[in-house]
Amino acid sequence: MTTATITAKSPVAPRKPWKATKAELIPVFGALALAAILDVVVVAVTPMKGKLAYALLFFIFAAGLQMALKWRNLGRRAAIDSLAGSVAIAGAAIAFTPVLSLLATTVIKGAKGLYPGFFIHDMSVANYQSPLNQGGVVQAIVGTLYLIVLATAISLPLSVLTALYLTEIRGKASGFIQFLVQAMSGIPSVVAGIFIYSALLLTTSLRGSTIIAALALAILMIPTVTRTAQEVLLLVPEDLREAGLALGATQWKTVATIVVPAARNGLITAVILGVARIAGETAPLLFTLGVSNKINWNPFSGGQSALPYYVWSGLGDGTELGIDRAWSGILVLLMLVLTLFVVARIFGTRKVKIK
Amino acid sequence: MMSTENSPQTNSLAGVAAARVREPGSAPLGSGLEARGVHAWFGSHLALENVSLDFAAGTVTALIGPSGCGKSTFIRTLNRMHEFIPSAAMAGEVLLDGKDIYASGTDVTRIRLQIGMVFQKPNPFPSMTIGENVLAGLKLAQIKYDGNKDDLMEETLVRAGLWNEVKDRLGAHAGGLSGGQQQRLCIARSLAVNPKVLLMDEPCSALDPGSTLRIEDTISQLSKTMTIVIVTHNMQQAARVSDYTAFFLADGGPGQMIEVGPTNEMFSRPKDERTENYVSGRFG
Repeated sequence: MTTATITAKSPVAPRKPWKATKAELIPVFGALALAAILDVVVVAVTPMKGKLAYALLFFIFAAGLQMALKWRNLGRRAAIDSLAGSVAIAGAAIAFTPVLSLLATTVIKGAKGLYPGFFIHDMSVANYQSPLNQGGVVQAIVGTLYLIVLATAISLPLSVLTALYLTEIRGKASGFIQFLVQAMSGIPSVVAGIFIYSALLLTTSLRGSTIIAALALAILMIPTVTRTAQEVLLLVPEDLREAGLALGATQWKTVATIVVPAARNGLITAVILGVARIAGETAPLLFTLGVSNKINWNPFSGGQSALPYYVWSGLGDGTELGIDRAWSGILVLLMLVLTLFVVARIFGTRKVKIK
Repeated sequence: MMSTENSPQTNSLAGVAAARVREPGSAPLGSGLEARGVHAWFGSHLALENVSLDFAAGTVTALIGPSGCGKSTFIRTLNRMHEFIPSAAMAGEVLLDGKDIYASGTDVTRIRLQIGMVFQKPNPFPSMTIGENVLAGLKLAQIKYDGNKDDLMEETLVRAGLWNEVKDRLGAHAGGLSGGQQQRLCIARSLAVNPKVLLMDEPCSALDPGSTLRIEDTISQLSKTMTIVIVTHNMQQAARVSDYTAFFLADGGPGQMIEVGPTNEMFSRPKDERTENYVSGRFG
């Protein structure tokens, strides 16, 4: 079936009569403009001032005028519907404003310290008070990547297996394990660091290194990934499991070839959420990472650096140059995490190939 | 009793259909619905081309045809449910009592209140009891009902043919009902807001023959008071319940309406060869 030729053959143009026409949008935008004017006027003549007053009044005027429009055209029910929509939009705006503000601040302040060498040099050639065109974060980038990869490698199998135990095997201990997972998700990150420090570093001859810090981060990552994996595995329809079992498959084969692949995109989301949970963690690193201002390619021995640790040190330095470096470190961390998520999505989404 | 006036092509379905023809002179009830040149698209894919069909007030019209012929798409354009699919587009007009339901400025929620719908899969609201399900429409559409709500509940459950089975457990949750009972509950729920037109999209496809017969009885009862459009894959059902039958087919292209006529004629002497092949079971 060639839809293109069929569409071309039909002399009738497709319409979307449920979408507002231009003529219908004029009063809607007119009301928004009127709300903006009223906003400015009211702020000017009353003692209210500041951005908050502008935002609050604009919302009240805009939502009120849209409601009045709907009331006039379609009645009270439509007006209330419009108000609910306005409240949802306002809620989203309130939630996103700090996020956007944070991103903008990071980009503006972080860009100051960025130069190509920032991604090539390490801090052995400079200190925090050096001019911003000396030294860089390459050692911290390497360290953070190592930490993310190692913590994921440790926590992902454990988390997915725990989730499978909870959703597929549903053993007698499910309730207890569910409780533990929930309790674990409330652990303050510093406690994870202290736990690894006291369990591994105080009592043995081991010294802080990448793998030790990754263990602390894995403790934080496991509950997040387990909970999300459990939710997405529960979304796989029971019919699919039954279809597999009815073909004579064992439970293992059904889970491995049907359930997990069906939940694939959700499991990738679980990993992304887990990485997001740990990528910026600083507190556990303070006890477990050791210190290095050079690239350390060996994750099992010797101190390491990491971007959050670099930021923390820069802020701790307290000088203007140190704080500028910290902002640049935050920007690099954001870019790194964003890149990882995009890469995970691109490689994680299965393309259906027909051979 | 088999009708004897039919041509030699008569098959057994025609006899069933003949018994359904409305008594002449009986006043039409409900509201007329008229589709004029309805097209439906999903993205750039034209799924339904140029369907014009007049549903007279107080009649039952069955839409038949093989899977993928556009009948469900068509029925969803009749109460503006088609537009919930993001890529959807349409062309043409649908007139309820002579007014285009797609006209600019129409209150779409009022349209859906007047044109009720029963879905393929029974979908009672799981958090509500049987009684609350029946009256859910009043609450959702914010209708002030002046009469006695218990009477309304009983009346609609009687009309849906479910009263005797649930009258002692109106406070129980709807999930405990069988599939057929759930579907009749959904019909009762649609009736409680007193729609002028009732659209039914394969309402019996998931039900056993006993439940199917009860719902067909219900449709026959309802047809006295409203206009009904029913999509069905079951030709015996079309023959049993409908006054008119429309045959849809997508012959490698967009779905089209091939033929429409009084049900007994559609099953006894269809004008189009493709209709005859389909109703006689030679394909589809």
